[in-house]
Amino acid sequence: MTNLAVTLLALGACTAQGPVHTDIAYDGRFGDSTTMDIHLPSAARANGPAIMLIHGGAWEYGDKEAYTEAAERFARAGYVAATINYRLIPARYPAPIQDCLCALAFLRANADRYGIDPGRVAVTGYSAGGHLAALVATSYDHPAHQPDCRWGAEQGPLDPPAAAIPADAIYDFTASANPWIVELIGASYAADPEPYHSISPIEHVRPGLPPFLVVHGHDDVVAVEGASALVDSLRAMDNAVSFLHIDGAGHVLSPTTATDGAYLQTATEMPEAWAATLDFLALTVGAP
Amino acid sequence: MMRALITTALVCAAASPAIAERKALHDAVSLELMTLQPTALMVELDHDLRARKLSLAGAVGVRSAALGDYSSWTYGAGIELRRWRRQAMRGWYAGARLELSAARTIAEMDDRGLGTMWTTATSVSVGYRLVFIQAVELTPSVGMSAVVERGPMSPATVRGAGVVGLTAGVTF
Repeated sequence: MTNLAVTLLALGACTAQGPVHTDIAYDGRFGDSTTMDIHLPSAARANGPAIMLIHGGAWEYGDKEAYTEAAERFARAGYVAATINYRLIPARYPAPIQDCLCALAFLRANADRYGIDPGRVAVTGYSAGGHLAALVATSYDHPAHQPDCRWGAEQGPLDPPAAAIPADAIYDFTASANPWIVELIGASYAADPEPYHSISPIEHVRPGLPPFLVVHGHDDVVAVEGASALVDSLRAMDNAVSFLHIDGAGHVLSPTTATDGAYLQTATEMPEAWAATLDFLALTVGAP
Repeated sequence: MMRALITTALVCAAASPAIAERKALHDAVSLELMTLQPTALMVELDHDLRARKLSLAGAVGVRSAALGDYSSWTYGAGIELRRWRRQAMRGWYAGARLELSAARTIAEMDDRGLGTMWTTATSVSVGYRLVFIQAVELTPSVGMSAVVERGPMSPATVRGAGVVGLTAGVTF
């Protein structure tokens, strides 16, 4: 009965949202492809924790609005949440990872304006966005990935994000062919293997990386073994990592309640995933 | 989910109007196939209200989904009022459903509870119940749901999502 009352109240409270700054250009050279929406908590504060959300879509589809509901949820929980666009296919690697690192540099450079502590910015993403989130956290200082945007140039060598939460992604492109990655790189592995190594987060694992929470649907068409391999690699190098894989969750279908069918949603929308994500953020970037 | 789709195809192929007599059906007990796992089970009883082609379905479920460095238990209950198009308990229906679930997640690495996430979902759906061999039922459905969740670190939030269902069971 209490929760039924909460439902009704929440339907009214859902309009009590913090301010949202939309279509902020973090790199003015590429139009809408390099913009972000920044969702702020309803209670303004300084030096707060933040999270950058990177949408999925096989590096060819999707946009920042795919993460609007999640960003609003993080903002309600007290985090500054920035959901970003980045250059998609037909753009070529390393454009997407450069854009993600440029966006991170933008948030840090403009931390005062948005009430962010630049040392407390986490990054998350789903599917292709999860790959990019993991790549941001493992290859932030790779020479080929350095953004040539204004914020990247001003900042100098980039710092890693404070934490990373990649979800339902591929982390190693050297082991098997992925047609979208071939399109993104513009050459096959046989013709040019080097980019396949530098675009694979697992190839950049070393000691001293930020903490990771790796999330994966156990029934995802993207095999969970890839996530397990990343987790094992991070642990072998003494990095802090937690692994949540969820039984019954696929790439686009997963349960939410205990009594209904499958919801058209990502595994990260499940209650178990939100509980683990918010706990992980409180432990890494700090509770708001 | 692939198993559920294959099951549907086989059952549809096996179903025959010549076999299924159009007898009155009053109750159905079903399992939800879309989320059926060794770690998840939902059982539903659908009861003909014998008025205005209405039936009332009640469901209870349990799920233990989190793996790796986490564990979880989710318990829930739901009710759905169904309005059947031609004959109660078979064929097309439209339904309105209300569910309540509680998901408790534990961080196993340091044996720490993360609290309980409460989920309330209200949904509308359409479905079609196939009845064959006089007693076996298969009911696919699609719908839209408004989900409200709140937890220890998560204020109440509302979101929408599509829902796909597939139950299988017996009628009597």
